[in-house]
Amino acid sequence: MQSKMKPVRSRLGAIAAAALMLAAFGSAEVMAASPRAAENKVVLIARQDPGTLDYVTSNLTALRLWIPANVVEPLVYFNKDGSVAPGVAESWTISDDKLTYEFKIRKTNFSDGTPVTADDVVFSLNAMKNSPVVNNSSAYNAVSSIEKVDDSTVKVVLSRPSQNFWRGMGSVSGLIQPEHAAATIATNPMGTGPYVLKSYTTNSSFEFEANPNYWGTKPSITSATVRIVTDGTAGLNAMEAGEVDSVPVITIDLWEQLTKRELDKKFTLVTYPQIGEPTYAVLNQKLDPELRQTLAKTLDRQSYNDAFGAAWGAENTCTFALPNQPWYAPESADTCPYPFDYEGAMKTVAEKGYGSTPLEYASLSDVPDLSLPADIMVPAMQGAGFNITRNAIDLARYSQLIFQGRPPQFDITVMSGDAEPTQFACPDPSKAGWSTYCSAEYTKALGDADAATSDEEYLTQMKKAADILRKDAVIVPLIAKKGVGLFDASLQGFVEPRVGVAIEIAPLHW
Amino acid sequence: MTDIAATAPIAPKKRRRLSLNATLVVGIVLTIGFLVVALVSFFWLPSNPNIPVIKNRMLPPFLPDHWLGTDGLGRDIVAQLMVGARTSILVGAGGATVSLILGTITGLIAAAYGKLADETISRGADIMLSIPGMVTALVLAATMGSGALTTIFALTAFFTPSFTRVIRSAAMSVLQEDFITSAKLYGRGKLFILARHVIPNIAGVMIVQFTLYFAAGILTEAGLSYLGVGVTRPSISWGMMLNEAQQTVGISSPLAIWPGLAIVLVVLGLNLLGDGLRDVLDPKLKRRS
Repeated sequence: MQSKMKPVRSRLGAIAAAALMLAAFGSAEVMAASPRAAENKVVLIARQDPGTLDYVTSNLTALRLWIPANVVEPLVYFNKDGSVAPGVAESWTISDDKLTYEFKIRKTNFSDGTPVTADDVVFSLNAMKNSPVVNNSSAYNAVSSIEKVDDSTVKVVLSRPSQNFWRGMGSVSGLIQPEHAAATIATNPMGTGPYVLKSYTTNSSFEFEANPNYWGTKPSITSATVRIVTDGTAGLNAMEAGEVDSVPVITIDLWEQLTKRELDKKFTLVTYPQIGEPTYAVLNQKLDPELRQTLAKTLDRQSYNDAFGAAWGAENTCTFALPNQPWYAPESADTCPYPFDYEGAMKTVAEKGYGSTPLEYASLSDVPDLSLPADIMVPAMQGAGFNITRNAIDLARYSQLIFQGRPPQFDITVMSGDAEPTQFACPDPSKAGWSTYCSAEYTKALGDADAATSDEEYLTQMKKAADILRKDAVIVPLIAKKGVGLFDASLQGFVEPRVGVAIEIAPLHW
Repeated sequence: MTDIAATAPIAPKKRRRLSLNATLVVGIVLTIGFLVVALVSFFWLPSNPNIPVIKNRMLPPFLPDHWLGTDGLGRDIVAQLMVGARTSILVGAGGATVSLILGTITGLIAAAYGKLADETISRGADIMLSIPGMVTALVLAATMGSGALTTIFALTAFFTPSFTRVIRSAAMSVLQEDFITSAKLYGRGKLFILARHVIPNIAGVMIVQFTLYFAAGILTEAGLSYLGVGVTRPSISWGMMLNEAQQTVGISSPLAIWPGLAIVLVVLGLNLLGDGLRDVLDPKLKRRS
């Protein structure tokens, strides 16, 4: 018996030793730097494919995450502390009346080696002025002329002071492209940025390489691959397996998984408001105002927030803004004209007979974080007595119904997107956009904010605009989501986006 | 005393009959279980499967009030599975039934009404079968909107050509028989012969094909709903449950396991039922056994 036990014991010992060794090697592997660190390369993950890289005609976040700041630079950069840094413009002067801006263009080359000229700058600004994307062109509402003064100077004259113009010069509206390469912008955008786009394969990847002609400090990362992985869980798995070095933008539907899997402990979790998005209900403006207000009272923001199981990343709000915008306010009695009041809503529905008004809730069936609101809101609205049906459709049909249909065919929907308040500006009801919202009062407040000559005045007007939007109960904010990203612990240097939502690769280093 | 009969090997013939019966019995049990669950769901559910109860979200299985736990919005899994069974029957059986009717009509016409009809219908079926079914369904969902009716329509488009081929082949075989020649000599018309002699003789094939396509319909519906172009809430489908579970699969795997298991069991049941019925109804197999 004794002799039989010995080999078993020694085998157990060997197994234990092997297990210890494996554990040691395993932990060493976890601690080891990315295999790409030695080569100064990074692999990042994007969740969406933009389809086109033409930032003049497309406003897709999937595009604006990667091309601005990395490949194409704006005239200036607005830093987080409010200071302004040179971009394609080496220096600038602003007249006292804030009507004339002169930009001195940097003596540098585009990534193909051709020099940047004043003509390229005039061409780029005019392209943005005529852009079909309101977010791009709205910066130019007050611009009366854009002209070349000499080979390295461009003058922009405004008809009135415009905050939007100056801020726009540090955003996508101020991106400078070479005129000679404008025809290939959709597949191969070019600029003066620290990287050159070597290739873009639809639904697959972007490949960036350091721009040899870059005017600034050479980036530490010489080569970056952005893999497009639409399945969020697959992206996190790739991160955990060490196949990628960062998932810089993680949507709210993955936050709970992220913490439950303790990925926030294994990697560096960054949160930043710039890539955050407000999620908001849109109640068609054609509906009776009191009916809209009653619908708004059925919206339980806390339930919605709790449903994602990641309250750390989102805040309940009734203000269409993100926490980094000074007119933002979290949910409170002062800032919510129609707070959650289910019993009050039920009473109003019964009194006013709203149950006889058929309503349609258009919901997305194939975008998880936008189908979830319908799962919560439709039963709640039905429970309050509204006669509401859910029209669950895929993204293609949804785009047709909401964005292209005129007038848009929906009563209620939920959106998540850009926190830019000017997208709802509407000088003429016949030109109401997809949201159906059109308010002369709101548009005037935005116009007054734009024309403000001081930051204080600007803020006052923006707060006024936000208040009008809240009270009209067409755009009804639910939560403000943070931007959330995961980085390999050894990959340092992340800076919060300066050009819109762009993830800057150049400051990163191993 | 030794009981020789008890220890003696079972004769091959008898063993075969037993295994055939076992297949059929397991198929019947699983299918009836599935039908009963769907039927009960009309009268009783543990809770409303569409009303979120956020405080109950992601509860684990085996709790007294939630036998299989709850999903990410606190909705009971059992209730959703029960309502999902209804959808599977509606869509799977609906698609298979319409396809069976259309396929039988076209198959019989192809078999009995001359070369032109045969060629036209057969080539038409070939063309239909060359179009990827899932793509057809996605296009239909994009143009007609998603939902149970669209899914049934898509299933009909997939399955009818296959039914047509099978029915045509079976009917042609019957039409070669001597008793059909006798009926013709007796002056019976084609319609009468098809209705009186052919259909009863291919009924076994039709039933077996129906069960198999019922199962295929359930699988296809689950696939479409998983992709977000099939059934959507307030209707509930097992594929939709899988889709919803995908968001929480890293946190709570059972959410994906339950609907997956339901699909496996029901499809297995229907396939075993189909196989069992084929063995029982096919006269050639009967003769061999």
